[in-house]
Order: sequence, then C-alpha cells, then structure tokens
Amino acid sequence: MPESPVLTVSDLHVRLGSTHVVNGAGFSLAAGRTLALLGESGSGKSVTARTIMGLIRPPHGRVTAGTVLLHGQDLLAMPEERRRALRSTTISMVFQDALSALNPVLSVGYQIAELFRAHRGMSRAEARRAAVDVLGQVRIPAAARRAGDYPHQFSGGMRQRVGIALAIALRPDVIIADEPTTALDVTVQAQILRLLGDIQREHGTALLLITHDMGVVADMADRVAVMYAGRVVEQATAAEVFARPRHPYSEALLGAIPRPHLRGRELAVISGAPPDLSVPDEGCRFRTRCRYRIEDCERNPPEHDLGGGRSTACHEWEKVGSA
Amino acid sequence: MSRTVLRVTDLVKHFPMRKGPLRRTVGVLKAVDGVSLELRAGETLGVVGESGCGKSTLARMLTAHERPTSGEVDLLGRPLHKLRGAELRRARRRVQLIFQDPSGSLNPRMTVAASVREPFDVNPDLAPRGERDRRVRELLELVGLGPGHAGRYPHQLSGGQRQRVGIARALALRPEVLVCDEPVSALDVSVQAQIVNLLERLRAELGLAYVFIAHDLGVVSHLADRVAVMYLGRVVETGPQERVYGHAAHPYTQALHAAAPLPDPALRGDREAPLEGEPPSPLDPPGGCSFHPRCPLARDTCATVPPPQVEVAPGHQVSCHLAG
Repeated sequence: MPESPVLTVSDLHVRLGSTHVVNGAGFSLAAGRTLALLGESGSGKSVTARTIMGLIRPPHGRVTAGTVLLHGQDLLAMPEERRRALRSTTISMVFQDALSALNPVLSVGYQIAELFRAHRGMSRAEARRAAVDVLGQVRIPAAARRAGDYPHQFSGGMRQRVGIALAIALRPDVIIADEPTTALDVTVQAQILRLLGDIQREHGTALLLITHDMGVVADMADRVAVMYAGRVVEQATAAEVFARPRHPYSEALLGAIPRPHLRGRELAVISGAPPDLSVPDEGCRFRTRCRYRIEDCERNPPEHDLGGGRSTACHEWEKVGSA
Repeated sequence: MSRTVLRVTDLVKHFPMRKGPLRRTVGVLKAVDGVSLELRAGETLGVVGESGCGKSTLARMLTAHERPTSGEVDLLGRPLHKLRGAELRRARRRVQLIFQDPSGSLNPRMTVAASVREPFDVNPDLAPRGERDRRVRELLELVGLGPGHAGRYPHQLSGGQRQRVGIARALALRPEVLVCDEPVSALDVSVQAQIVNLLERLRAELGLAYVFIAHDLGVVSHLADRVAVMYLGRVVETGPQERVYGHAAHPYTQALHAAAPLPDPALRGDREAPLEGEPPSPLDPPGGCSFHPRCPLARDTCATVPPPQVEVAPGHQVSCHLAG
C-alpha cells in the first residue's frame, strides 16, 4: 500500500475475563479508504473496534499487548484525558443500534450540539445551527424541526442516520462502523450504505467497516481483513479476496454463501465449531476445521507477506483458492 | 403436476389497536390483508419481504397459531381456519412452524432428548411408549445430532445445534409441511449453510413441502421453487424462482433486488439508486397501491385505484398498474 495509514493496529491482544478474545490482530487503514473487518460471531472484530475506541476497560476487559497507532500516536499508551480529546474529533464510532449511543431523555439536536459546544467552544445558538446542518448532511428531512425530537421518535433507518450524524459532526479522520446496517431492512440498508459512502467521499474520511456480511464487503470495501479467533488471517483488496482467497477460512466462508450458480447444490460447510478461546493454543486456530491441515499447523503460522499489501496467516497458502 | 398440500385464499388478519383506560379501539393494524397462495407437495415456496410486511403473521396463520380475521386456510383438504379442539390438534400436526430463534421454543430446563420426546408425550398415539426412545434417537440422527447431544441443555448448544433440535421436534409429528420463519437469519454464514443443506436434504428424504420465509434474497433464491414477495400485508408478486429473480415485474421486487448487496465486488457501481423512505405503518397504509409513495414509476391512478393482479407469464402474477 503506497498510501500512508491513518490507523495501524499491530499485534493486539485483548482478554475479557479468562477468554483471549483478540490474539495478535493487526491491520492498517489508509486515509480516505474503506477497510472491512470481516468475521463471524466470536471472531473478535467488535472487541477490536471497541478497543480502538477505548471502550474496553478493566475490570471487564484488558489489553495485554499491542499498539493502536492513530496518526502515528499510540492510543493505548496515551493518558485517558488525551484520548478522550481525540474521540469524536479524530476518530468516532457508529454502532449497530444507534439507540445505545444516544441519551433517551435529550433531543437529538441537543446531543449533537453538545459536541460542538464541548470541542469547538461554540455558543448555544451556533452549536444548534451546526447540529441542524449535520442532520441535513445525513439527509434527515426537515432537519431543523426534527432536531428537537427525541431518539424514540425516529424510525430505525432515521435513527441510524442520527448515529452517523453524531459520528461525523466533528469531521473525524476515521469512522469505525460496527455492523451499521445489520438491524435494518434491505432497502433501508442500501440507503445507509450509500450515505456512508457519500460522506466518506465528500469528507475524505477513512472507514473501518465491521461486518459479517460478504455482500456489504463486496459493495463497500477497498480492502478486507478477515478475522478468525481473534486474529486477522488474511488481508487483501476486496477484489482479490473474492477472486482468489489465500486463507482456508476465507475460502470456506465464500463457499458457504448461496449464489446463483450454486442453486440446487449443497453449500460448502465449515465442519466443526470455532475454538474455545479460553484454552491456550500454540497452533493455527483454524486447523481443526481446515481441509489443508498439515503437521506444521501445530505451530501458529506467521503472516506471509504476498506483496502489494496482501498477507495470509497460513502455512499452506499456495494451495488455497486454486480450486 | 403434484397435488396441492396447502392453499390459502383471501387471508386477512387485522389486529385492533386499543388505547387508553377503556381500551377503546383506535385503529386497525392490517398485518395480512388479502393473501392467496398455494403450496404443492415437495415444493418450496419462498416468501420475502421487509419487517412489518406481515410475513410472520402469515406463518402463524398457516400453522394455526393465529386465527385469521377472514379467509381460508386449506391444509390437505381440511379447513384449518374452521377446526377446533381435538380436530384442530390432529390437523395441525401436519404443518409445523420452525422459528428464527429456537431458544424461545425450547424449555431451558429440558435436555435435548426430553425436548424431542415431548411431542410423543403430548400425542401418545404417535408412537407406542416402548418405541419413543428409538424414535428420538432416529430424529436426532436425522438432523445431524449425535447421541452425545441428547443429554445436553439448550444453553450448552450452539445456535445451529439449537435450530437442529427445533427441526427434530417439528419432525416428530411427521408433518407434510414445514413453515420456516427466518430459520437461518440469526445464524453465522457457515452455520447458515449447514441448516440450509439440512433443510434441502430433509425435503428430498421425507418429501416435505416448505414455506420458507426470509428477508435474505440469496437464501430464498437458493431454496425456493416459487417465490412470493410481500409488501404491507399483500403479495405484490409471485411466480417461479427464475421469473421473480430474473424477470421481476413489480417495482418493489426490482427495488429489493437492487438493494441487496451481492457478494461480488465486480458488480459494484452499476446498482440503481436505492428506494427512498421506509415501509409505511400497516396501521395506516396508503390508498390505491400501497407501494405508490415509494414507487419511482407511480402515476396518478396508483394513488387511488388498487392495482389489479396481472398474469405476465405462466404462473407469474403481479399486482401493478404498470405490469403487462
């Protein structure tokens, strides 16, 4: 990748209780680009996102190793106060359920205006105008009137727009969107994805899109980082992963989605179950379900750099995806 | 052509909305508003639509969990909507409902084996007492669960395994029709594939017919022989899978296809602009064609006159003024 990364996560390890949820995850996000963090439940993708945002704190969770560099500064080594100053202004997050990010007893306009007052030192009136402006940017009809409404008065799709408005209000360089459309209907999902794409192009924001949906990845992402058992097992451009995956797990995932040419045939199935992450394991975490398994898989594979920003954590990567 | 196992005619379900201390009726929620469908033996009918379109209420009426306000449900020649008491209990064995989240239908304090055995206790004539343990083992094996799972409790199972238990329970009654309401929506992709394969295998082995309800167009396309598209309590388009997917004639179906993200980056960019707005409330559906406020092709008549049903190809019906 010739572009300079705005966000680089390296060798991140996070524990929730006795479970090693994230085990050496690493990826980087270039300015103005979209990186999809793709994985199934339990892959550690959401915990990774929350760790970047500083939402994983003792006693619930602990970062045991790793760095999260935002513009070259390590967020994990920073005092909480400096970190708080960066949230919303430089990096912000859109949640799956916008209600969880909103205060139910304050109008949405007030909540957005608070950001301008706290970080930009605006007066009440200025902040309110700025808030209405942002609500307009996320295409909420009659924004000036709706700014006085409370979160419960918005439909699911409109609420998600409010969540996006909160995230983009201070023009951060990086937006993390954690399953932003999973709870929405397909026509509304299309609207929200298009809105995110438009905003990203207009503002030049980098987007870390956390999703389990390969359709969303294909539609939105420049690059993909596939996560399994707390580790990024493959990184590549979206086109490369779909054309020729280089990790057995990516290959298996792609085989499991119904597609027109598979009609009337059995879908490929990943046998077995994800590993128990509270049990330490020196080997590749996918080996018990992998059809390429060899003896070497008893030790954790290193990240093979395949050039052009592409990498895979598999000993047998040359054999993968050729079928 | 194979025989019809399930036929619904002009099915309607209205829920009165009550408010205030006297619970006065302030409005009517038209969850299902005149649906007619037919399911043939061994066939899978896919039903797609967004939240609030009435697909779950339809599922509950097809399985006699809900009584229709009006209209008919004909199951294997018997009028399900008219039956009561013992007659109803016997008839509804032939049609079973599979839920999205089977944990809601599994007793957390019963083992897998006990859950699958329960239908035999409720319906003693299904199998003599001495044979029930064997039947339970057979059913678990049929859905891909081993003897090791029999003694476990629901919380010790994964989502996919719980769904298998739900299917085993339904099969205990030897139904001819399974109504599956979003059976794989809560599951991870890799697990979803297992359940989809299982349903396909059971259909072939047991000669089942399915009504497969989902919002995921990809899964429905994979399984369905015929597809019905619902919007605000009505079926707006129905036809063979290859027609509804390849030659969608209703603007809403076309919008659904355009909105569904396809797992192929090469197709990015040539998608049409997404449909605007959100489905209106079924409490106060728009007049004329209920899709007209969101329809990019709407004309004046669409706002006032309900669209007629037009057959645009054999077995392919569309309710739209502009079709045909």
